[in-house]
Amino acid sequence: MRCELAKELILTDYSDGQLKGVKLTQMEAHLVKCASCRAFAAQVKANVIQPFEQLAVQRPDPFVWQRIKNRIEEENTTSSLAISTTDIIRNFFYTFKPAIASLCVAFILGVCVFSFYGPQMTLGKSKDQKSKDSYLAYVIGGETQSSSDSVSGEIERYFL
Amino acid sequence: MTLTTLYNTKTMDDLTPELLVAASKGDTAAFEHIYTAYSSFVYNVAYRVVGNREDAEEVTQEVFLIVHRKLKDFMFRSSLKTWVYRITANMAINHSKRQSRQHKGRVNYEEISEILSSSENVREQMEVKDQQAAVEGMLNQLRPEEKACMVLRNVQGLSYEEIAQSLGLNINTVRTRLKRAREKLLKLGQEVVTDEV
Repeated sequence: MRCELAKELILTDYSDGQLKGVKLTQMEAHLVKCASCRAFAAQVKANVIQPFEQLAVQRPDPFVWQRIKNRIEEENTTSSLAISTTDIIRNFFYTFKPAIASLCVAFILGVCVFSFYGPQMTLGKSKDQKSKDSYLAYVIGGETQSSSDSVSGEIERYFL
Repeated sequence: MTLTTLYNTKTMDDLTPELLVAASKGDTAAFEHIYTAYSSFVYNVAYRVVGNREDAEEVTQEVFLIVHRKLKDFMFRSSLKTWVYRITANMAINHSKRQSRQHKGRVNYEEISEILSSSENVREQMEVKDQQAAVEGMLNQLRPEEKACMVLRNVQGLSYEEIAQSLGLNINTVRTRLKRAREKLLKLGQEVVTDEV
């Protein structure tokens, strides 16, 4: 085993006890032979492995749980309020489902009928109204039924 | 299962699926058992990664609130332990990154030098002065991702496989981060000793 690879393993798998089988045997054999790698392994263990393993375990203060508990209770209250509002809306639609459905159908039918017959009815009425107006003007004032009629009459009279 | 059996939990491995289901349905007493089992791990990792009590408490609170909110969606595809490890590591790393952006340029090099000031060997110095403070000071010189790997491995004793799962990384990335972190720490120790000589 080359020293370069041995040092890499010392910084990782070997020092962390993750090296197994043939690689571990090769590593141990190399450390027996190589004083430099042995010294490096000791340095790594003493300076960057053991001091961290000996760090005291930190525990949170009891009030941390109290704060978490308060937040959870707040969130539960908010979510239960949201759920009750949703339930009210859902119940309303469930109770009046047939009535709402009938109203919707009636509205859709109304829209369809109006869009189909509405324009025709309006147009027909206006045409009818126009002819009635011109007829009345003709009868009452003795005027021709329309301006186009009067023009053609004058031309005809000129040529005749 | 009786309530006594259900709630008789002290460690992560004692948590039963029934207890998790109860907690996910809003049972605060059941959730307190989850907190009891994991709080030490969560707080310890958060404290070592963010470097102070206030931020560690904030991270701990956020981790447990996320666990509480998402517990009903937890499908037991992975273990709860791995899931909590993952949330904790990500929260602590993100918090530490935000923190370092806010306090960019603040170096604890002087603190370490002070602690390691009068003897020959870093290890001896640590024993003579304040080992805890020195190690914490050294940890603070690492990037949050490297710190998380070091803490999960050397403080919490997780295997490479568990670290990879917790951080959502390839196992070789975990190796690389540990190697870089340790090289930095060795270099830092040597620089401190050289400066004092």
